Amino acid sequence: MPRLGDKLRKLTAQLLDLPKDAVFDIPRFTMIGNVQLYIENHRGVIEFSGDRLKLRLSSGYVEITGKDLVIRAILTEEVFIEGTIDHVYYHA
Amino acid sequence: MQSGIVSLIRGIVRLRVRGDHAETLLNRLVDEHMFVWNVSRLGDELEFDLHLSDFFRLRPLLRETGCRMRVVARFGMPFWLARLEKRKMLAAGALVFVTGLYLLSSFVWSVEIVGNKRISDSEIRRAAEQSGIHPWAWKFRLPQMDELSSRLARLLPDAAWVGVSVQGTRVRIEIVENTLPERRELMNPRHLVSTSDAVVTEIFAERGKPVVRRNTRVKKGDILISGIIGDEEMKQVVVAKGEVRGLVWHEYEIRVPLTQNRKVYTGNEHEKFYLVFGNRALQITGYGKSGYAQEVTLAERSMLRWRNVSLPIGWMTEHTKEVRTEEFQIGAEIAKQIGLAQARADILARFGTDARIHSENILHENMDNGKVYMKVLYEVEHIISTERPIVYTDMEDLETKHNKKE
Repeated sequence: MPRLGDKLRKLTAQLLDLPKDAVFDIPRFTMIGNVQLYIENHRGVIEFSGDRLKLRLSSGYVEITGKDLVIRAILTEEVFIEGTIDHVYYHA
Repeated sequence: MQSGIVSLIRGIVRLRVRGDHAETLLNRLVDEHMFVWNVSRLGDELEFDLHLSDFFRLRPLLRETGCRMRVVARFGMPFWLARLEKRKMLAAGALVFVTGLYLLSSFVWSVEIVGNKRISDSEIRRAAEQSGIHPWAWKFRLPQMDELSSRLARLLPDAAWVGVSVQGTRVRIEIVENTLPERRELMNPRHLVSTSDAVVTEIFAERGKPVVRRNTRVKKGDILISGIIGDEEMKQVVVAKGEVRGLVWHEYEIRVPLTQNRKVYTGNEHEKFYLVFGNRALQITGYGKSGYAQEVTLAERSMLRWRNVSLPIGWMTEHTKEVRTEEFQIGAEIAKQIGLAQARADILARFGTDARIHSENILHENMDNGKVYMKVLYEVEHIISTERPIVYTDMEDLETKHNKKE
């Protein structure tokens, strides 16, 4: 059963219509086609190669596979990826 | 962040890093707020772009993660400047060029004068020189435009307005000249005398002394307005000016034949067609003489046009129409009217359009030999004054004659 705190947070988010990624500290993925992917709210790079990128999250990690992946820009909590993106696996 | 202009000024380095914990290095870079972009993996090397200023802080991080790096490319101003240092003369030359250009463009190189028709260029240039505008003048030492304009305007009294503008190294002086009233013609001292025997109807003397009055009879050559004014003691010779109108009798002998000729088209026509090039015409059709005894030729020319411009190429048609003179009779009354009308037109032509015919008297009328013969007397009122210059030698004679009359 989810903790009371989580339930309260969910209720607040719903009532006040706040964005969920800010409230729950989960990442936001903005994907354009399969060529660009912008990930906000990550916690660092675990692995990076031409066809695989693993990013740590506040809880869990996300794995992006594709071809010719290039990190166009990387900031503390944001990363901007270009290339041909095949799969996005979310491990919570 | 990206390779924009600002990043280029700061300097960009492209690195390839080799090692097991390359991703950890990446995270460390991000933690230290060293911007990194275009990150890609080539085999077991990680390639990325980095600012030059951050490059010098890389070493401790590399040691931390146990990675090695090599530089594959450099972009940006710091590298250009380094290269430039080896070519100091180039930099010096560029500097000299820029300074020289600036200095040279701070002079006035040419003075342009626009808009003067009466005032001569050299006069304007002299005035400009006095105000400080001349070639090789320092632009900075010149006073403001409005002060220059007022100075020049004061030096050039014939100018209504002077405008001074500096465009680059050229000073442009615009002049708007005063509009002068029309100059009056020079006239020599003169009397106004009568052209014929007449009875004066109107006399208007603008300058000079009127000698006759209305309803005075004058003879041809009599002085109407004298150019000598004043009395015995003080005399002055002036240009007599004015208008005198008088009633004159004119006798006309008019002859009008009863048989008149008139030209009539017979209807026969001969056409010639030409092509026109500039001023030359090339005949195309209609060769051969027209063979008419009497003819009248009409030519129609049409030129090719393009929009509003006429080209010098076109064609021309000449119509030559045969003409025949026909005789026809007119009645005696009509002949008389024609004659009188002719006489009246002649009067207007000879004595001016402001001549007025007071009366028309047919003194004698005759018809003989197929002709109407009339003698008509017209009483016409028109200008009778004309000028006679005063010559100094005969001034005394005139004076005595003048005095005698009075």
